[in-house]
Amino acid sequence: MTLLDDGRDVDVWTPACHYDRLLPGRGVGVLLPDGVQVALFRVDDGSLWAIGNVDPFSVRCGRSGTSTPSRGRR
Amino acid sequence: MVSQKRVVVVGHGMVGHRFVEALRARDGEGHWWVTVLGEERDAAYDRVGLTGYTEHWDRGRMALPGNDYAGDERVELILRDAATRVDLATKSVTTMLGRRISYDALVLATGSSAFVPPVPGHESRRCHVYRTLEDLDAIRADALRASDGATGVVIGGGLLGLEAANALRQFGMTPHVVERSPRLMAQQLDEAGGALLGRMVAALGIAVHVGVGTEAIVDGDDGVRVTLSDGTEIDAALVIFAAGVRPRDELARTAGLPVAERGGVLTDAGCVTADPDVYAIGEVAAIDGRCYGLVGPGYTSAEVVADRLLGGAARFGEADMSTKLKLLGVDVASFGDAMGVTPDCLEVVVNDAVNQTYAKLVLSDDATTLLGGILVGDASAYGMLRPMVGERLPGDPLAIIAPRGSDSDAGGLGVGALPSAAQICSCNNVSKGDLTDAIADGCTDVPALKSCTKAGTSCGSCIPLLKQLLEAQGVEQSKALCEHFSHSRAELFEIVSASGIRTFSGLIARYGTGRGCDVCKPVVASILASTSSNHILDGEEASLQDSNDHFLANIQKNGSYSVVPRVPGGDITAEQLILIGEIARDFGLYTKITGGQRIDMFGATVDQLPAIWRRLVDGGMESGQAYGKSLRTVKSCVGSDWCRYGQQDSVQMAIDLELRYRGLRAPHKIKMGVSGCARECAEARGKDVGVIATETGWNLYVGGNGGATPKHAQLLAGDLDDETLVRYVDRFLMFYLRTADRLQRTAPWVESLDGGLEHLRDVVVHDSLGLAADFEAAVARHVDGYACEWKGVLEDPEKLSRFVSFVNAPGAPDPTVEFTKKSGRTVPTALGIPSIRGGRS
Repeated sequence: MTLLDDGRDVDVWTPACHYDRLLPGRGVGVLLPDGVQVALFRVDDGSLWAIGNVDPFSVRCGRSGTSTPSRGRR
Repeated sequence: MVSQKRVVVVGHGMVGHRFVEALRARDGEGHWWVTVLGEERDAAYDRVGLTGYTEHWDRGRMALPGNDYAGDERVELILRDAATRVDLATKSVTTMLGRRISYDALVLATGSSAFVPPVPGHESRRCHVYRTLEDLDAIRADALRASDGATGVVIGGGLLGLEAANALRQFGMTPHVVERSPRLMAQQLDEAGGALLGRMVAALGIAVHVGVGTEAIVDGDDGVRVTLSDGTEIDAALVIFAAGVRPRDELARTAGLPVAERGGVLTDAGCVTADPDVYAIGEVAAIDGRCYGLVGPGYTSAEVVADRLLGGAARFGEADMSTKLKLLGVDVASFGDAMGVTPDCLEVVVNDAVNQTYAKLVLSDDATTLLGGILVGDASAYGMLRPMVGERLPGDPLAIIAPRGSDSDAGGLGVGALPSAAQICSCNNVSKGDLTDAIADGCTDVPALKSCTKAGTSCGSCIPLLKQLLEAQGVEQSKALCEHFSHSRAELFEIVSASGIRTFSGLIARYGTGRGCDVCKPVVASILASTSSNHILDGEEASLQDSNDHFLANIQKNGSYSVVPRVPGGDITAEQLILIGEIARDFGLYTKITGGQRIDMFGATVDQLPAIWRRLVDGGMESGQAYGKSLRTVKSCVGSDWCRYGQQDSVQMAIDLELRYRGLRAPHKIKMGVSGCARECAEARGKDVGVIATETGWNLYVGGNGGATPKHAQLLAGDLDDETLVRYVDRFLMFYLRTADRLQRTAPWVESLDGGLEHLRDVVVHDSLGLAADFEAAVARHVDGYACEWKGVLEDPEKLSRFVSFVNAPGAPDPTVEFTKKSGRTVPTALGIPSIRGGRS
């Protein structure tokens, strides 16, 4: 997966949505100010994760519509 | 060095095909080129299962696997041409079409032809034989011309004759069977067994004439009159000769090769004829003077010659003449020394006239070794008994054949009691040891055993034993859905129905482990949807759906979606066409007619979906569920209103069916078709449920499938009125919904049922499980509770709020979803490969 956090300090925070708006295990798309797309996931233990929204294999956007990527599949 | 030796095989029947397969499998170094001559229109097909052709009339399904040798450049298959002459001196074969083919080795596999006794009138065009697909087509044509219940005479009361009688019954005719000897199946059964079979067959409405010959056949205006030797006269629409076969040894005779006294090309135990380069296999071969009319010994002879051509010294040993079959619903089996001709042998007989079973075991003079036997009425012990022929019996012989009633299975014997040399599959000569070795090497299910050992691939009667053997070897057949549920989908369906648990979290907490995955979540979502009328995006269920169901649309290549409104039966008004056209124009969507006669609009972004559906719903249209594992479309032809050939109103029936089952979630998508006559313009037999009009009602076909492995739907029930048709479809669908595996279409589901189509018919038509009322009530609940899923979304602001590309920028379209034009059509643009920020991944 593409890691967005490259270890440097975050300088700009982008508000996404209320925590309750996130269905567990189901991603949503977030548009960053520089045009980069992020898929934001709330996983079952309640923590939040984000990955790039562009699937490098099928080369399309739309990870945000899918389930949490799981081990061994997809 | 590449060899240029050529073997010519004359005849492409089951044995000829087996020979080519065996040779090619063993000839890894490529010593031989193979030329096969087949005179029939079709390449090798399942002649043993010939009667099965009358169930579907689909030649493709009769084909033996691999009979075109696709991709094997060393095999040349010539069809529709027959060898007419063999010249041993120049080692060449001349054909009907004038081909001249030289050989280094010649294999005669011409089989036999039906024997037609020289009865006066036997050349009437209403007289048939029962040997090839062509023969069956001709019989069918005569049968269709005859009136319902017309008489058909079968001359010959052996195995083939009874099969022919069964075929006539399926045509709706009344069969008469004429047998010269005093009982049916005289070759395989003794007097008492033959008598019981005769009674059971007669009870099915088949007239049995035994101990009489046929005197004359006289052509009349619309049939023939058959006169028997006892003076009986039968007026019949057609006659079938099934009075035995004769080896087709003409080629050998004219070439000067010796033949046996009663026909058949004489060979030694190596299947070599008098000419060392000419072999004979299968029914045409008289191996050490004896012809064998069964496929098992034929296959053995094919293997022997394949071995010999590669320098081996294989010999044809003892042939197994065992037979087991289900004739007209009556189980009959005969194996080993069935007639008890071994000197001083002993017999143990159970003749149960009340329960209509007959069983006889033939034992050695000291009553310890099984020599053979006969079973009529109940042949379930056959699978265990036949491999034991020649072995010491492990228990009391009477207990083995005593009528069941207790819980014992075949006298308490299991496949475990068999010695490892015991032959399990006699068609392909596979022993128990071969199978246990294959299991030890990693075959863990029946299909794997079949492909690895070939056991069970010919007549299939040993498949129950394969299952038993797997169990006996401790191979557990896992039905677990995934790592989170040890249950099969069918079991989960029962759990949901019985427990009333309506959430995934509740279900996994009580019956599963972990948190679920993208296998079990959509399965549970589908089961929950099948068992209630709640909206699939309600509450927790929303998070279980796969991405198509999540957005109630079909995702396409570039992340855009397509939209398909429901058009029941393909019946659409001008206003609806205009509405769709306007929407497509206003949103810039590409439109295409789908394979199922619907209109698909491509290229909508997620945030456009609600606006598009608002206009469709306002215009009176509803979701077509093209995104769901549910009823997709019911395709129809134009039917009796407009079409000159239409027999029933297929459009109305298609509309009714589509409105009834719309929105019904299932293990996989379901497609239906309704045709207004037998011309079948709706291609209904390619659908899960196919309905085809008849003069008086509807025929119902099930289990059809397009796609990568096409299957024709099979006839489940015929000539149904509207109400019965719908009831049967209700039952069929609900049975499928409850018992199929995840993502299993109806075609493989029907195949996987124990007992296949017959069992399905019992459940649907005869209500053998007592669940019919339950099934119908479940559909009734579905019909009452149905609501359009898109209408539900539009009425619910919370659900509506999910249709955004970006949660922090509602209304902002996804900038990466782009389109371009290609030959005037709008097509998606692929994205470039994304770059990685910061250079780490």
